[in-house]
Amino acid sequence: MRMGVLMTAPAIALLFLFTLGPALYAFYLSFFSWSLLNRMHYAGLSNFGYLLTSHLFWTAVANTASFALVVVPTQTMVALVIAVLLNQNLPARGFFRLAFFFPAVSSSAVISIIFMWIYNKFGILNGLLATLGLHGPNWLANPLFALKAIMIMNIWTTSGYFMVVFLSGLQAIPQSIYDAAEIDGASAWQRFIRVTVPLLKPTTFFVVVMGIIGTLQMFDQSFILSGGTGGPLHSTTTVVLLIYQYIFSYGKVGYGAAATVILFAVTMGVTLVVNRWLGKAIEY
Amino acid sequence: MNGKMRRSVQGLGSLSVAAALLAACGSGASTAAASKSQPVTVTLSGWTSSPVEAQLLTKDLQGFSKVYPNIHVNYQPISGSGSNYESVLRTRFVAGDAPDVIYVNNGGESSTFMANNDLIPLNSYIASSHFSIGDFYKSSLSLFEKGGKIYGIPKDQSPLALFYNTQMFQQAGIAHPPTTWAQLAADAKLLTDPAKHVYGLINSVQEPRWAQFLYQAGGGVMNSSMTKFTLTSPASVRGYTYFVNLYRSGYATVPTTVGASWGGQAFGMGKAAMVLSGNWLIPFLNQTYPGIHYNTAVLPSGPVSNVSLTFPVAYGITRDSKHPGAAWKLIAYLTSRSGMTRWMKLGLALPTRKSLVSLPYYQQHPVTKGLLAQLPNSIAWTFPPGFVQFSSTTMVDQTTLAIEGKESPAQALANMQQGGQSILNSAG
Repeated sequence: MRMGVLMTAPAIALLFLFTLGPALYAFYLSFFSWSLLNRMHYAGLSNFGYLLTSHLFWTAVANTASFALVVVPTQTMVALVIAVLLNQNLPARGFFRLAFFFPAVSSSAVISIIFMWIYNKFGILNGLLATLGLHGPNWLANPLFALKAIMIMNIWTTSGYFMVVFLSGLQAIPQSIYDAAEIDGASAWQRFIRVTVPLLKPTTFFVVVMGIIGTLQMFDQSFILSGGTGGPLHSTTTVVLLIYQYIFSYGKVGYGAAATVILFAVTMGVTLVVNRWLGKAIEY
Repeated sequence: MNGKMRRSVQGLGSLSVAAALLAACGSGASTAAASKSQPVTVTLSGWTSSPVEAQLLTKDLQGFSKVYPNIHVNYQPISGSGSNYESVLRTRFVAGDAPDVIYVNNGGESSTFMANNDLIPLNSYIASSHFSIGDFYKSSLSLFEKGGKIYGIPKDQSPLALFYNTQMFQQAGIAHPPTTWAQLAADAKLLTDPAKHVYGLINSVQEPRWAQFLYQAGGGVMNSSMTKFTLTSPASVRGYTYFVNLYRSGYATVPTTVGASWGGQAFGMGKAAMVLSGNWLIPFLNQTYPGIHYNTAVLPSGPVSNVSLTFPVAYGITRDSKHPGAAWKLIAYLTSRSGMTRWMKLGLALPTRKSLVSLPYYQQHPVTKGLLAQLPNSIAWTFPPGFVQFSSTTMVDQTTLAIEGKESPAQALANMQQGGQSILNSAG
């Protein structure tokens, strides 16, 4: 027993120092008014009161929610479809697996900067649209399109990673079940819907939960593509970008910490709901 | 960091090292006595308007190490825009580990840093080293002064002037840059060709690109003591409406319309016939767009004046500095008459010392003429503490809505007035 504690002590110490400690400190800070530079003083629940009546905070919540609602289902389905396709005996399978996985191993900052050029008004995307006779918008400068542009980029980036997760899930499904289904006369579509999808449920659970957590915490792509402003007209301001701005740009640590606590509660709640829905394993 | 500095030293031509040495000898004679003590390291941080600035400052610092061999300067530029720089500085202040010497911006957080005593007063150093503080423009110095204490020595500044593409003006048959609002609008109209994505004037909608129009009409953003917003006065509305109408009528636009990230870039790309910009645009154009033909002129006159905004930047010493004496020597070296002369000759900005506006350098570089002529007629631009969010979001958002025609200019100003005044009142 003592040995076990001793062996895990370094990991636990690091966890407290760099993860749990700062997280608890954020809870503490959410009850204070502090600019990082002055003395902090106790503010009770006023930070929460300010946020819940702040138009900007609700804009950020709406942006984040719509981002998650679009990105999570899309990237899950795209990843599943690609994984099923690449699980077949296709020519150049290795190349395609690499090509789809590549964005997941690249830095999201680098990808964001590349996409800044792709989305430029005279960039490659609008060039492609023009060959189809379409007049592309000024993606990142138009409040109607800026967040959608980031959604597209995010789906492209993360689908590859989740594809690999689905691939490993697919490999774990015993071939015998497919054989049995085939003997019973199930078509390819029926085998996909009745065998593959249900047996992938633990993998799907993981993908959906990670997707939700990732999208609710989206920060870097908005930060880079909007030049740190969350613009145009706050259309790309996510909750985490707003937290960053409150704490580091505007010197309102209490508001930022309170938003962190709210985000934590929401993420936790959503994850619990998903757990009830997808969390139980299926046995045949 | 050390390795990085050494590499850049090797990269310098022997000629410039010799020049730095000569310059160092000139200014060193009077102050070299104090450098006999223990070697110390002084950290210097600033943002960089472009990579050129870091190169030029590194070069200038070579001379300092010759005069003060016992003071090692560790130059740590912080990349990113001005607000990113100040976010980084905040975290350094919290950690009690701020650089010894920092760039102090005119707006942004400088007033907050002064209000919180994050910078130390320099009065005693100025007095004991007989630093010629009287030579500085009152307008620039006063931004870094509070209650008789001086928290920063203005290192340089640049007013906004009108940069115009001489080739485009010639082709359109316009002989002179515009001198009145009416001419500016007429020229911009003539120079605009949306089919070629060329516009008369391209500037972003941040407040330092439109506030001067308010002052030119006799209005302003705030009163001179910064206790009240004056955005809704009839004169302010008049100036702002003129600015908004340039955009609404299609002769002016924002940089993203032509795929640029800032006005200066659009100008370099040949997409803007005119841009309001400061001295920093000159080295950028020389390096990135050497083919562009341009000149500078003073701003066109509104109903009352052609006043512009100027943006002085200072050097300050942080409260975390363990060697404020050595830090002061660095500031004095960089901002002394000879130090500022060296810096001006690198061509990035205009002087904050009155005695330097007649440098022979400016006769040799006539493109700075418009900027120099604008300098005496400009307002040093700043905000009181606590206005970073207001200026970076509220003012930008309202102006965006106004130029897109989703809100009347008067309504946009009324919204800004209300937002700004409520921040002032709550800071009480």
